[in-house]
Amino acid sequence: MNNKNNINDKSVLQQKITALGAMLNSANERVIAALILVLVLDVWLGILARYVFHWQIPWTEELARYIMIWGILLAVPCCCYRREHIGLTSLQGFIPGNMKRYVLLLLDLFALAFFIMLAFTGTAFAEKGLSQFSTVYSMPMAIPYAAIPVAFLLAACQTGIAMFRDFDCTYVNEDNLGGTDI
Amino acid sequence: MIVGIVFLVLLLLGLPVGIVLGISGMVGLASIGGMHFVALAPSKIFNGLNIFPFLAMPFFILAGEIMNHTGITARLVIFAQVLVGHFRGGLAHTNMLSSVFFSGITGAATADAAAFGRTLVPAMVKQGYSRPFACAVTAAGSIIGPTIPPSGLMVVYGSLMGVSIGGLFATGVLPGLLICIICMLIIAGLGKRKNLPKNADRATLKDIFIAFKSSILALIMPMIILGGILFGVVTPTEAAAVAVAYALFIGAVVYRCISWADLTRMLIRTGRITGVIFLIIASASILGWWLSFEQIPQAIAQAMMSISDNPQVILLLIIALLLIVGTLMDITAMLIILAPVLVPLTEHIGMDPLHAGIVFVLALNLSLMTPPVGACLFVLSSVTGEKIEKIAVELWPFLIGELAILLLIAFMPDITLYLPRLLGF
Repeated sequence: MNNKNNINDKSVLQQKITALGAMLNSANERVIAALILVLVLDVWLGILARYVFHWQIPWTEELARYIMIWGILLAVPCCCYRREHIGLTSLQGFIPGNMKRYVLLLLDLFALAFFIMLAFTGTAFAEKGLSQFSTVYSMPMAIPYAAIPVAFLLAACQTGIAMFRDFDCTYVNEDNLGGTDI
Repeated sequence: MIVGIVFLVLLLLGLPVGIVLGISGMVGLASIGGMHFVALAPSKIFNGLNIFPFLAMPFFILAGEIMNHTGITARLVIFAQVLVGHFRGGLAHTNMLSSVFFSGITGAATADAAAFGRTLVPAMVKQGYSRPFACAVTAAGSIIGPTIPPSGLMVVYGSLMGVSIGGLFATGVLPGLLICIICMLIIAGLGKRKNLPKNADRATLKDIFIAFKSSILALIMPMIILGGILFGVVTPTEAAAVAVAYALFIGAVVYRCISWADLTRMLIRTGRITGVIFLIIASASILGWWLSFEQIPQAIAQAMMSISDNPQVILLLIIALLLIVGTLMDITAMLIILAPVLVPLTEHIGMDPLHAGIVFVLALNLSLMTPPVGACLFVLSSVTGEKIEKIAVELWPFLIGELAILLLIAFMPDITLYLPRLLGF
């Protein structure tokens, strides 16, 4: 492999796709930060209401679950962009260099197909949610259900972008998580 | 059969585990009822994630990120040093005890390995320890983090298997301390043979008090988290949210070292770490449904019971399986995949759910430092520049000691269940 790390070493198409991916990811990450912040505030409100003010606010728990699902599922495409989803990659070292790039391409295609399938079936699932309502404040369930098609459509986009960006190149994640054990 | 082949081929080729599980699950659903069943996948994902206790996971991660950012780690190290730094191998003992203090702040072993790999390993090398030994001590201590609560792994286990998270937290305290004690005994045993440095003088009571005062804000945090949960005052999710508030207070008000940009970055990192785990949980929900439909866990249980009907042999087989798979796979992914399959087996042999939980968590934690795929080894290698194989050679005495603790906990449940029983779990 050529291991082109520098954006200037890439073709014009790869440069444009890399820039598009970065822009999409930046916007996506800001939304995640905002949602997790709201999530924290919501749970704090629930705690204050329960233990300090002794108010009855029944919706904080339900809201927290749905914000969590939206916020964390939206992080899935960011991890696709940054190639952070964990896999058993130690055996890839045994694949000869020229063949490895096609194996990696094939794996990206599998991932792309999986995310597209989930976005497609998730849309039908969200549509069904239009006629279902949440238990506490009767919100159409289509709103939380929509997290699935939106997040996985974005994941499909970012996987496609990463596939073009990294073909014949080595991607370097500048903000490495350093481990995903929790 | 076809699901198993798809799973193994894609996994071995290196496709991310979350996607492997999802594709295998979809193949399984398609094999039952074609596209009509594949369309059920999103509902399985939603139901698999719509669990309130999962919220504790991002909150504990965020609290750990904030506390790490405040630089409180250095204060904890100084406190540990005044307590045990005067022994032969003082910095190695300090490293181990610091891991115990650090474990109350974050449950992530890699965070522990990264923090001490950057600070204590260079200090140890400067004092005359070999770098591989310093890394091995750090790796051995790092697994105390996810054993002593809070532990994200226990949150996932409790949420998935319907076991009390507070109970699991209580169960983890003693094994975590035992790991620290056995590792310190090993360091003491190796002290003369390896001629480990003995530099510092014994600290005075005044030094100890000053170091204690300086690190008290960090030492209080686990008490807030654990006290609230263990005495049943708050739920684990609420305790985790309080931990975030406390960490933010320390970072933003006491030390004044957190800007909006820092906070945004930490929120995003929290989202991404949890996102990786959530994709695995989401996809495992699809595969898990197919597994239950085909009654695979029962078949595996029967197959294992056919080897032996002795509960202790079965338990040994479970531990061996976890340790073997753990040499190759990420531990959270392993937990999500194997717990639904193996936990029914532990019920079958009459294990207490909390006891089964701690055996699972401890076995997985050991996998964090077994080559070739030990996450802590990778982190230490990357932050110190030391080769994994050299660290692994020095790690053996600690691995054997920790394995002994795992077996002790596994076969003498009363030890680990004492605290949760005392607290009424």
